[in-house]
Parts: sequence; structure tokens; C-alpha cells
Amino acid sequence: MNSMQNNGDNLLEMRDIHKYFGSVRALRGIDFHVDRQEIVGLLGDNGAGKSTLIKVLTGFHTPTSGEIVFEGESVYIDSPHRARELGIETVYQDLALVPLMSIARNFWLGQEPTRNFGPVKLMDQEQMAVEAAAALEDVGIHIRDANEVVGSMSGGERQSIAIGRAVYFGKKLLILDEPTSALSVGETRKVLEYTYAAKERGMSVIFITHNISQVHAVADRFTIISRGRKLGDFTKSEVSEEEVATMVMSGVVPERLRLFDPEAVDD
Amino acid sequence: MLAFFEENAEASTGVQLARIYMVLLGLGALLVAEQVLAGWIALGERINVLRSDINFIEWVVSLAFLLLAAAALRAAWSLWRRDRAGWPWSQWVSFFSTIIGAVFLMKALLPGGIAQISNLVAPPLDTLIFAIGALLFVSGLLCYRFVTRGVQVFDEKVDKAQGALSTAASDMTPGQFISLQLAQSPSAGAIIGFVFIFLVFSFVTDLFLQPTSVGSVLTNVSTKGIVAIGVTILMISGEFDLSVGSMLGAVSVFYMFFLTEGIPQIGLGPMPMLLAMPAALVVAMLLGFINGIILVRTGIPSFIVTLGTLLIYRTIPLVAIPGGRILRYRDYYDEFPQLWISPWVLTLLALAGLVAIAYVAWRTLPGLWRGQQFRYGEIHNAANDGHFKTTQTLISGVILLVTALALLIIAVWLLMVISFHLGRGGELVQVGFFDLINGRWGFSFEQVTGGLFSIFIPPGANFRNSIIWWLLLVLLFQVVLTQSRYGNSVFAVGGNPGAARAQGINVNRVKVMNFMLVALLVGVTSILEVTRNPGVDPLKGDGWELEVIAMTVIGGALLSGGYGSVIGTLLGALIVGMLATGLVIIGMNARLFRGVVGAITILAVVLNTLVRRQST
Repeated sequence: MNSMQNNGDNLLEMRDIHKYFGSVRALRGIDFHVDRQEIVGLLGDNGAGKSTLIKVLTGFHTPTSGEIVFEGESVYIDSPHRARELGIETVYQDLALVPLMSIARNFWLGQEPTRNFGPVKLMDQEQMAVEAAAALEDVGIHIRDANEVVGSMSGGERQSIAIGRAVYFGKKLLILDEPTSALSVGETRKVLEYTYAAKERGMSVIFITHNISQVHAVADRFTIISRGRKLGDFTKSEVSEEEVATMVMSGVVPERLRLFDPEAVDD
Repeated sequence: MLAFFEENAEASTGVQLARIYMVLLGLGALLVAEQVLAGWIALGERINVLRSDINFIEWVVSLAFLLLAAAALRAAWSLWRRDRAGWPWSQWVSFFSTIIGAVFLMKALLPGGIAQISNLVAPPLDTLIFAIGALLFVSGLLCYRFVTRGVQVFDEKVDKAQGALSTAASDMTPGQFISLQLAQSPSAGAIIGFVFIFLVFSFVTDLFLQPTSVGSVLTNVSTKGIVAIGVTILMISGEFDLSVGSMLGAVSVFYMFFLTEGIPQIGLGPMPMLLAMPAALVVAMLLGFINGIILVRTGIPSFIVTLGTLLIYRTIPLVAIPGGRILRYRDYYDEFPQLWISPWVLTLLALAGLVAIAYVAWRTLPGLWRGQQFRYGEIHNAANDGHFKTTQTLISGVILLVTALALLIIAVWLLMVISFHLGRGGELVQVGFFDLINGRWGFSFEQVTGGLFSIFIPPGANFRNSIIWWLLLVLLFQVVLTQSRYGNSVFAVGGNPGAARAQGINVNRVKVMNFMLVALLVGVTSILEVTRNPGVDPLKGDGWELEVIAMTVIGGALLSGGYGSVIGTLLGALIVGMLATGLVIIGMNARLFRGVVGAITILAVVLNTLVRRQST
């Protein structure tokens, strides 16, 4: 269970990440790793540093110190564009899709297929619609019409499309930022299904939330963060849902688990 | 009505009535068409005419009634034969008879306005027109209500979305079909407003459809319309530009100086006229770049940035032209510049045109032909139940024929131009440079094409080349906005900058590019304005920014970004132009213009919002 040992199939490893904003110490030496085809629940109370950690990973912030290793190579992620190049895709709750644009246009945004009319390149709208629908169908997402405007769809459908898009474009690491906090129970279940489908297709997933019940069903492992430090990594088999919830709220690791986690002890 | 077709029930009284109504309507419409063609019903302007002189409006109206008659008889035929096509046919026929009736009522009820004062009209047959209108309107409405009863209403969101694609258009009632089409268009308010204002002005005064008025509307609005294209695209990406008017003044002065005295302070002499143009465009893009870069680097809202540059850019012409007078080209030279074009250049241009025509033909005609073949085959496909298949085949055939003929005519004309210029044997063609850029129609065309292309423009009508540039630019940027990858990123940047950034789009770059695009179009406009009436007014473009934003907003663009269309802005510009000219024609105080434009702006946006809310 200790992070330092599974080097064989590590997709991502963040070592001793510090991030200071002036005198505010948002991250104080966090080690975080994700294996291949693993769903990691990144948990923590509001202000614990989850979002900062992810923004460091996706290039919105650069770390004050620390190292990021992606697919065995040390990388320097200084822009969201760089993160995308590496194959890291983030699905933000409000930032996933453009509401006034159609599903197909959203799906292909930034990498639209084109047809050539002499020297002129125009988007191939028919191909865009057909392929987007097929790709989403492939992940199990049924849409009525790829030319429908996203604005008329529910939050869960939008998340699903964003996930399907990441799968289609062969991303390696999918980051879901509080994807289900505004969704109904049924929709949450669907989003979790698609998350699982993404894993089945070889992706790793970081699932950020402060609510353990949303992610317990699909996550393989939980990383809990509190006040800029990591409380620990726990595989699903060794902790109960209640214990994780207590840790997230109190920031204290129960007696039973402490022996196994040297980092938490040295606090 | 539904039961009559679906369950093969006995024809009810209603169906019997509908059958009879369609027959009567068909015959009635034929009668009206005949009366108009024979001159017994006079429409439009009739000056010292024989009864057999049919004017344009009467041609249009009689054609409309002939089509209505044909459709009504077609519907009646299907209703008697009990084939299912009778249903959509009767829906559409009653729909259009209601519309035509409403238009006639409008014509009869609106005051004649200045038309009577100017003594140009035959005594109006208002009672006859009123009677025809009322009859068509009431009977059409009743029939429409009956025919569409029982059709499930597409008012649920889900149904509406499906209706767009999975349901064939003929399964919707005309009302549903039209409202769905409007709801899917960004410029519903502009379309409705355009039709309404156009009809009102053409009914209230016969002067409105005269070439002089049409020319005045188009020419006045074309330059503002070009700026509005850029402002629309910028607004879609979530920003706007208040500095366009000042920029126009500044770039005009630069262009004028480039053409005449240069800028001695920096050691720049006068430029050749062909170089002055790109130089002015570069200056314009620089000004736009300044706008964009301030916005992106400081993060100040574009309102503030461009308000600042509005004031700054205006000082350029005010300072550069001493005394605030109007600087004229004639102050420097007695003669306007002339171009001597080698016929070989024109021949080459014509050859390039031929290649383009051949390419277009190669890309479009085979597809149209296949579509026509397919539709022809579908006529006898029983599964379709006869739903408009014959009509669609007919229409697609006409489109195919017209496209082919148009391409052929242009190609033949280009060949004629080539042979004409080859026949001249190297003699240079002389064209007034300003005429070429923004001359009046009638002069410039003939000079370039050697008289092979001339259209009759009545004296006094002011059509200028800027209209052509405007329409070409609208077409170009409509394609860029809706069909290109760049256009897609513009919508994304305005609709949700975060999502655009997350998909790897450089949001700031798109915004700066759009500011430069606006500036480029302002540069084009400056050149057109300077060459129109060769000279510069230091206050040129003062107040344009708001008028242009009004055009854009009437056209359906959202101030908050992410939504809008160039075609909508074209309509918005036409609405503003029609008001400017129309209010003067009907003898209203011209000072009302701004107020009316303001009211129309609010109304159009309210309409747009209502239609959009209905759709999502």
C-alpha cells in the first residue's frame, strides 16, 4: 500500500510538492501518485489543498518546489496546454463544455476535423456529428442528436460527454473535479459508471471530492489531504467509509491505521 | 382531420368543408392573379399607365397567388383522393393564405402616408384589397385551426430537440416548423423585425421600393455594415469595441496622408496609391492590436479599454488636421488618380475566375444531380406517403437548373471579357482609382469590363461598390464563423472561456486576433469612406460605435458573448438603414431616427430572448 513501492506501473508521481502563495502555505510537502488503470479518490475538506494540488498538476500553478514524474519521466508542467499534451485531461464542473454550442462542436473543440476545398480548410460538420455520436455511444453514452445544444442538457449529461471525449482522444489521466456534487442520485450513478468505463479502457482517474460517499463505490484507493499535508493513502479494503469520512473532517488518522503510515506519524 | 387519414374514417363535415374550401381558394386565387395581371387590381406605383402595364410588385403578387392556387388545388386533389399528402398540403396552404391575407390587411389598413401627397398613385382600391385580405385571413385561419387540430404539440423540450432531426418536417404543423426554425436561428428578432419594417415602409409609401431609396439604404448602410461584421465576431468572443468610430477617423487621416503628402515628420513621403491601401490597413491593425493587448495584459474590461482608446484615437485626426476643417483630396491634386490596367491582367483575372467557376461546378453540380436523382426515385416510394416528394423533386430540380445556368452564364461572360481584351491588343484600360474602389454603379462596371457588363441604374440612384464589398465580406465571415475551426474557437471563447482554455485554445490570442479583425474591417471601411467623397472629416465616424453595436445586437448577438451571427448583423444593419431612409421618405421628422433605432433595438432583443427561451 505504500506509495514508494509500486514503481512498475506508476503513471504519475508527485514528490514533495510545496506551493506557497506569499506567506500562505497551501501545500506543505505532498507525495501523491496514481497507478495505471487506477481510480484514486482525492479527498479533503474545503481549503485542504486538493484544488491547489490539481492546479499544480494541470499547469495552472507551478510548484514552489517538488518534482512531477509522468510515465517515468520528470516533467515540468507550466501551462494547461503542456498538461494536455502529456495526456492529462481535467473535467471541471462548470468548465467542461460550452453551453451555447452543440455536442459535436464541443466534442471536437480545438481539434476539429477538416475538409479541404482547394486551399480552404473547413470543418467537416457531418463527420463531426457522426463520429461524436459514435464515440459517445462506445462509452455507453446515448445522445439524441449530436447537433443539439449543450445548454439544454443536465449537469450529469454534460459531465458524461466530457468524460467520453477524454476517453475518445486517448487521454491517459482523467481528473474529475467535484463532478457529482451538484447531481441527482441517478445521474451520479451514471457518471460513476462512465468513470469506471474510462478505467476499463486503460485510463487512470483522479476523483476529487469532499464527500466520500460519492466515490467509495468506484475508487481503488483514497488519498486524504488536510491543511496542506497528506494524511495518508488507503486502499479501499483497509478502511471503511465512516473512517475516511471522519479523517476528512477531523484531519486525524485513527490509531489503528497510524502504524502503517509513517508520514502521518511524523506530523 | 387526423382520424380521416389515420383511421380511414368517413369524411366528416369538417373534411368536406376543407375539400370545398381548398377548391374555392384555388379558384379564387386564380381569379385574383388574373385580375392583377389584367390590371383591374392596381398595386404599387402606377404612373400614366396603360392597364396592361404590369409593374414589379404586381408580378410578384400575381405569382404568389398563382402558386397559392396551384397548392390549394393540389391539396384539394389529395383530399378527394384520400392520400395522406393532402394533410400537410392543406396545412401549408391554409397557413400561407392566412399570411397573405394578413399582408393584404396590413396594406389596406396602413395609411397611405406621403404617397397621396406626392400624387404618384392611382386612387387606391383599399376596399377591394381589404375584402380580399379579410376573406383570406379569416378563412385561412379557420381552416388552419381545423386542419392542425389533434397534432401533438411540440412544446416539450425533448420533443422539440427531436423534432429538429428525427421527425420529418412534414409531421410538424407549419406553425411548429417555423417557430422551430426561428428558435434555432440566432437572429429570430432580426428576421421578424426586417420583414415587418420592410412591409410597413413598402405599404405606407410607394417611394420606398424605388431604386433611389433602395440605393440610398444599401449605400449608406454598407460601410457601417462592414464594421458591424467585425464587431459581431468580437462580441461573440465576449468583448466589444467602442473605439471603432474614432479608429475610422484616425485610419482615414492616415490613408489620406499616405495618398497625398505622406508624413514628413517621420520622413515618409507620399506613397503610390496601390501601396497606400495596405499601409492604411496595417496602421488599422496596429490600432486594433493596441486595444487587444491592453485588454489581455491588464485584464481591464473591454468597455474601459476601448472607451479610453475611443478618446485617444479621436485626437489623431483632430490634431493632424489643423483647424478641424475637412481635408479634401482636391486640396492637393486637381485630378483624381487614374489606374492604367494592362488587358493581360484583366485576362488573367478572368481566367482565374473561370478556374474558380469550374471548381465550384465540380464541387456542387454532381452532388445536386445525385440529390435530384434520389428525390426522383423517392416519389414512387410508398413508405413516404407522398409527403411533399413531388414538390421537393421539383424544387431541387429548379435549384440544379438555376445553379448550372448561373455558372454557365458567368463562364460565358468571362470568356467574352477575355476575347474582348485579347481583341484590344495590349491597349491599357483606364479606370478611375476611386471609382474602382467605391464608385457609383454604372460608371465603374463598364470601365473594367469594357461595357460587357452594364446594368441600368436610373439617374439619381446611388448604388456604390461598397455594397458589393459588404456582401462579399458578410459571406466570407459567415463561412469563417460557422464553418472554420477559428470560428468554432471564437464561439467557445465567448461561451465559456474556461472550457475553451481547457481544450487548448489560446483565449487571449483569439481575443487579440478579433480586435485586429475589427480594426482591419474598420481600415477597409476607412478606405471606402475616403474614396467615396475623396476627403476626410476629422469627426468621421463619430457616434458609429453605438450604431454599429445596435446593428449587432438587433442581429441577435449576445452582449455576454458566445452567440450571434453575421447574417443576423446584416439584417440588423438593413433594419437600421431602412429606418434611416424610410422615416425621411414618409415625411417624419428625421430627428426621430435615433429614438426609433433605440426602440427597435430593445424590441429585437426582447424578441430574440423570448424565442430563445421558448427553445431551450
